[in-house]
Amino acid sequence: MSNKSVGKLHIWQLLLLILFPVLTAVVCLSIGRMNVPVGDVFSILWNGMLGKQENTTAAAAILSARLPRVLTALAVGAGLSAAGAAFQSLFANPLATPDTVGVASGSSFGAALGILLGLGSIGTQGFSFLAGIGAVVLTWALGSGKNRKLSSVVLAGIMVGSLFSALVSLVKFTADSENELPAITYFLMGTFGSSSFKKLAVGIFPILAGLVTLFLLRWRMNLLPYSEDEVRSFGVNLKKLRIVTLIAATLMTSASVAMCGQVGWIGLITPHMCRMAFGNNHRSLIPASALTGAGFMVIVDTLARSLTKTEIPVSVLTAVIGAPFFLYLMRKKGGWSL
Amino acid sequence: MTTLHPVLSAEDLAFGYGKEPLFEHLSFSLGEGEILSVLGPNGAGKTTLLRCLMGMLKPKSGIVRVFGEDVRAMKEKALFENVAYVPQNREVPRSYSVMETVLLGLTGMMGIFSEPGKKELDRAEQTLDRLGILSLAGKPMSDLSGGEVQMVLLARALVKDPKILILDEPESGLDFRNQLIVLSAVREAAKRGVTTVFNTHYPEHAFRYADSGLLFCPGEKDGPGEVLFGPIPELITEKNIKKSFGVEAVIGNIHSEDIAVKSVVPIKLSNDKEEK
Repeated sequence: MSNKSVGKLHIWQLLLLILFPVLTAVVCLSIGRMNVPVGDVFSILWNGMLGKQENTTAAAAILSARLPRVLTALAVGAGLSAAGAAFQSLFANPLATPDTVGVASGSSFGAALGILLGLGSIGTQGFSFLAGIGAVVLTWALGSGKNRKLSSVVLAGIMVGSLFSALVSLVKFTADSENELPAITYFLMGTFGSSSFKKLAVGIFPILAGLVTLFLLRWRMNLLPYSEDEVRSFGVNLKKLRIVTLIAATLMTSASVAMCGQVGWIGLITPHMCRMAFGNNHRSLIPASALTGAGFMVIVDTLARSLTKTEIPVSVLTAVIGAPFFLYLMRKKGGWSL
Repeated sequence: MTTLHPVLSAEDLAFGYGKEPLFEHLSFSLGEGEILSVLGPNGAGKTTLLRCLMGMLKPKSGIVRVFGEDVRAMKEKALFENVAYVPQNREVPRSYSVMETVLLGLTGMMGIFSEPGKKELDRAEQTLDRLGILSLAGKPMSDLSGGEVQMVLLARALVKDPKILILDEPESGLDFRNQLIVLSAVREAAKRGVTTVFNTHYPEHAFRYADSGLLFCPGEKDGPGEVLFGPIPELITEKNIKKSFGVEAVIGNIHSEDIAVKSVVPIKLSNDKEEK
């Protein structure tokens, strides 16, 4: 049996997938207003790990400004991409995104409200995270039920999502147009500019928990597109599997939005790229999506902070790069199925 | 394995989605390797019965037993180590390979976080080989014909070596050749001791492949119908077909050089109401 026909990654594929985010991160650490040679990046990181502080501006720029930012981008990219793959499979819908269940809108509302109430960065992050989870709980409570199809969850999710979007508008409307309104708007367009080790320390746990859960369940996740009776006859509880997948994907998405606002597209494009390259088996899809997404996010953020003098919102870039790329792949491959 | 209990049995089973039962007083009992065919008009409750047999629906009254144990009281994981199901709906994810599809049939018997290993792969290959479709193993499901898909779904059910196999219209929508291939494979499994229940719209297939049958006869208006149980030659008669399907049919014998088969041909709708 070849690896491909049982959905396994080749060892060299896995190696390349691991190298991609690692190398990207190192290269992107060297790029910025002050370019640092890649070799120096290694020694600064090495000394930093050993606790030896180098008192150069390069070391300061990399360790305290760029490193938390790159690490946050890695975590968010991995989380949003794995979550995107999970949402697509969960709803057996190639266009499913975190907003299908209202999580991104919920988190956005939480963040906007946090900024309006002046909760500070960690407070806002927590508020946003909880609001995202609240939105999904609401969606699930309204849409699921005995003898209900999963499509009613999607409908409930769209309703909950638009409700929270309206609430975001309401918050913006009430916000003071000098400070709060720009802060909210800017944050919601997606930015890694406010990354810090402190924020990362809070946000990394839900992302890691979600990633580990999906990674462990990677074989079982292949059952998600099947019908309930079928899966039941394999002796597997599909409902439980769906709920665990939903929780994992929700944790990762709301933790990400809470750290850096809405970063669209990445959760849609990365899994599709990986589906085309490695097939639909979650054994390879989950690790491939997470690793590719991590690297891709770092590249996009590096472009966002270094293309022009002022930062470009990340979601603008992901859309500008993502949409044409997506269309290109779709036309070249002639579409795909889940 | 010799047991005191029948492999699969239903005792005075009744089920209905609303207040009115869809069927009631349904009883049968099957031993090792026996094949039961379920016949009846559309909407009579054949698929519903299959779901009751697997404990997926709660009967209004009565009990279904697997090796003497009430299916509703069994843990699903344990129940479905013995029971396999081939649904009527053949819409499976098209992007998985045949091998992946068959391996997924073993998921319930693996640890929650495990991936299929050599043991599972060997079992899947053996099953595919036994069904004569090992050459399909590496192909994506999207490349298969309808008949091949059905054989793969049969392999996915048989891969766990079930004691009981339940099939919902396994031959529907297939051409003559594939009907024979699928039903012969089902009979082969039964010969190895797998007790089998299958729904069908072809009385001929009941004659040819089943030991006994259940025939759903709809009742007056929305009332519960009668479900007849018996050996096929006694069950499928012109009179019973009229009662069940409301058609006049002729049952005849057809001989070829090496085989004699029964043929059931519907002639016309029966006009007269309920002459019993």
